[in-house]
Amino acid sequence: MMGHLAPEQLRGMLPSEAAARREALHHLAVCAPCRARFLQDAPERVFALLALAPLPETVLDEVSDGVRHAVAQGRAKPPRRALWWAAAAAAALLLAVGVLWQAWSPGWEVRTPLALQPRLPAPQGEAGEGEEVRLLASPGDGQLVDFEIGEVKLVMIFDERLEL
Amino acid sequence: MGDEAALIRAAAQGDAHAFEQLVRLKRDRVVRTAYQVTGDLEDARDVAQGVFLRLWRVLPTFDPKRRFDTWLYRITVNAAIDHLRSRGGRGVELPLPEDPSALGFVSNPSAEERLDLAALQRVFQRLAEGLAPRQRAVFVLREIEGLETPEIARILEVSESTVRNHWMQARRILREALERDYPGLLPRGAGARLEGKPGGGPEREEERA
Repeated sequence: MMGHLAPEQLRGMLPSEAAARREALHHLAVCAPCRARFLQDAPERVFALLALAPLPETVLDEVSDGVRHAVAQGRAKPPRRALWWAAAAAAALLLAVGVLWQAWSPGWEVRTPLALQPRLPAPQGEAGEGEEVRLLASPGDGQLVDFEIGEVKLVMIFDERLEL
Repeated sequence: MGDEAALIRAAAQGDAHAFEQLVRLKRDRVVRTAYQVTGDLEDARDVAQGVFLRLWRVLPTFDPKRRFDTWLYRITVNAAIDHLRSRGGRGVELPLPEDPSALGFVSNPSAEERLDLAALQRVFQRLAEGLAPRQRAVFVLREIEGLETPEIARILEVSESTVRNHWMQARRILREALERDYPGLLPRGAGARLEGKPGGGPEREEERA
C-alpha cells in the first residue's frame, strides 16, 4: 500500500492523471485516517470512490454479446435515415434518366393523333369562341375529362378514333 | 494508444472484429457512466448497448483529430440522460444499509478500514435522485470519472461556467443530504468550511487551479 496522501490531495484535489488518481483512490478506500481528512472539507467527495466499484462481469458480457450479435445480423446499420436518403437518391436518378432519355431519343416528338387534327379551315380571329363543338362519332372507349377555370369550362376527349 | 487508434480506424472501415475489441476496451467506462447517471444496472446495460450500436453506425464520421473518449462520453451521457428523463427521473428504490456505520466512511479513523463500496453505491443512488439529470451527469463525470471541467464542457456542449455551476449545485445538494441522512458518518465539522468562508473551500481552490 502507498503511504498517506499528500496534504493537497487530502484537501480534495486528487491527481488529474488517471493512474495517479486511481492509486490515490485505492489508498482512500482502505485508509480511514486519510479518508477522514479527505472528507473533512467536502464529505460528498466520498462518492469519488465509486470509481473503484466493480461492475458485474455478467452485465459487461451481456453488453458485448448483444452488440456483437446485432452487428453480425446487420441490425446496427445502415441507419434508417441513410435508407431514406438512398431511396430518394435512387428515385431522383431514375427520374433524371427518364427525362434525359425522352429528350434525347431521336424518334421522340410531340405528336397529335390524326383524328384530332383539324380538318376544317383554321378559325379566324376569335372564331371558335362560343361555338358549339359537336361530337360526330366516338366508336371506341374514349376518355373524357372536363374541368372549370372560373367561368370557362374545358372538356378534353381522349380517343384515337375520334372524328369531329 | 496506438493500438486504440488502429482499432478505431479499422472499426470505422467496417471491421466487425476490431469493433468488438473496441467494445471490450471501452465497455467498463460506458457501463459505469451510464450506471451512475441512470442509477440502475439494467438501464445501464440497455443504454450501453444502444451507445455501442450507435457508435458502430456513426464511427465512419468520427474525426480522428478529435479525442475519441470525449466523443464516446458525449454519446453515453446523452443517451443516459435521455433514458433518465424518459423514466421520469425516478430510479430504483434501494434499501439503505441497516447499520449506516457499515459504510465505514470514518467510523474508526484511527485504523486501516476498507470502505464498503456496495453500500456507498446504494447511498449515492438514493441521494442522487435529488439531482437534476445534468447536475448528476456533471457530478459523475467530475467526481467519479475524474474528468476536468473543460472536457466536461466539451462532452455536454455547454460552457465551462455552466459545468462549474452544475457541479457546485450537485455537491451542495449531496452534502446537505449526507448531513441530513448520515450525520453520524461524517467527520466532525465536515462541510462547515464550504459555506461563507472566503477562499476556504476546495471549490474555490480548484477553480483557481
